[in-house]
Amino acid sequence: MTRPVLALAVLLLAAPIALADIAIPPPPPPPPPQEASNPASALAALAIVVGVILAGMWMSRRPRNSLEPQG
Amino acid sequence: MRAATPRIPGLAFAAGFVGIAILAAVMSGMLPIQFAIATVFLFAGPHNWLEARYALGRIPARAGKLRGFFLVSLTGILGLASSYAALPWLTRDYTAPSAVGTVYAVWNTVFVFWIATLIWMRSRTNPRFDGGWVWPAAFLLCAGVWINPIALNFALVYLHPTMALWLLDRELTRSRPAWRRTYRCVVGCIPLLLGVLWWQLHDAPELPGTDQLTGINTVEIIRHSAAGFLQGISSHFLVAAHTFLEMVHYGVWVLLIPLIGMRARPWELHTIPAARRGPTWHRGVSAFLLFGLGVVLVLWVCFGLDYEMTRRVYFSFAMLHVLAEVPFLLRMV
Repeated sequence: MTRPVLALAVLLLAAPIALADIAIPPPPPPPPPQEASNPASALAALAIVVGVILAGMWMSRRPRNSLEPQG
Repeated sequence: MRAATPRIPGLAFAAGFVGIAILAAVMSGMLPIQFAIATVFLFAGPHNWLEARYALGRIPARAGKLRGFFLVSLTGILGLASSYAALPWLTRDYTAPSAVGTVYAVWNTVFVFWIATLIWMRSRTNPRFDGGWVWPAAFLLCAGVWINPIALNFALVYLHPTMALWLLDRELTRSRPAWRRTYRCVVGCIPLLLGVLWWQLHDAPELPGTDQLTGINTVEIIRHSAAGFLQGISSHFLVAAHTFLEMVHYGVWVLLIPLIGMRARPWELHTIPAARRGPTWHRGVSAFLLFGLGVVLVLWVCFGLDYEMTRRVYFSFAMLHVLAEVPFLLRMV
């Protein structure tokens, strides 16, 4: 039990020192830079086409409820 | 004399949930910046620790047939979180907005397809479901990412707190199924309270760049809530809405899930499957949880010493727990 408490105490005491050594980081990802603009509309169009084709394939493979009379 | 049986199961729990939500809405609306500072200071560390403790109690001791799922999960969590934290450094020297946008779009594309892969893998294990919709959805979302590379990142800022509500629902299904119906009735108070915040604050004046009380620079807090990205919307409302959702999410992780979901006290390791594998694993789990407690304490000390910088560092690495919730939630579906 002593060792973990000791380790914790060292960690706590080290915090201000560690803090002093950390170079101030640039702004974190949230929020990303708002000036980031649309980089590739062709890629977006391609993704839409692939997405629509895959959606069609998935819909056509799905089992449907038959309206035909049974028996 | 027999104690009266409550007519509505989980009524006290539901009242607690609504109480937390109303308190969070009132405080966020009245003191958005101060409340945002206080909640992150108090709960950022503890809620991560409790989340990790809860997850440890739910993760099986051996991966077995789920080895592939866990491997993809872990690779994605570590790879995406570390690259996300590195994005600001990577884009530091870029001057063209389209170059910055491309980097974010690439990251978001990998993120989208990582989630799609996990859903697909999950759909092929019991209880199975038709996961065929995943790939078209992923491609269409990917198109959105390349049209606007940062919209998804801001969406995540608001969506992540609501994931806790979903996890709470899954936990109730598992441990208190009778309460779930009551919970689903009262969870509607969240959009209702967001509506009230909008009604009260949609035309509120912009927030100042420095908090009068603490002297803390509030620009990052305001930008974090997507003010600037969502132009024309009051920053007061955005910060209040984000702080409100964050506080509800902290309340769920710090209070509600531990109350209903934990089978033992956090330090009782016999409920953690991995800790039961053997003495080495037991020591490893103990060391991990103790290290986590140390991080919580260090975070408090650092927040006290330099709030702005600690907040920056914290949110650079907070993506780790956002990503970790995805496979965890999928296993609970």
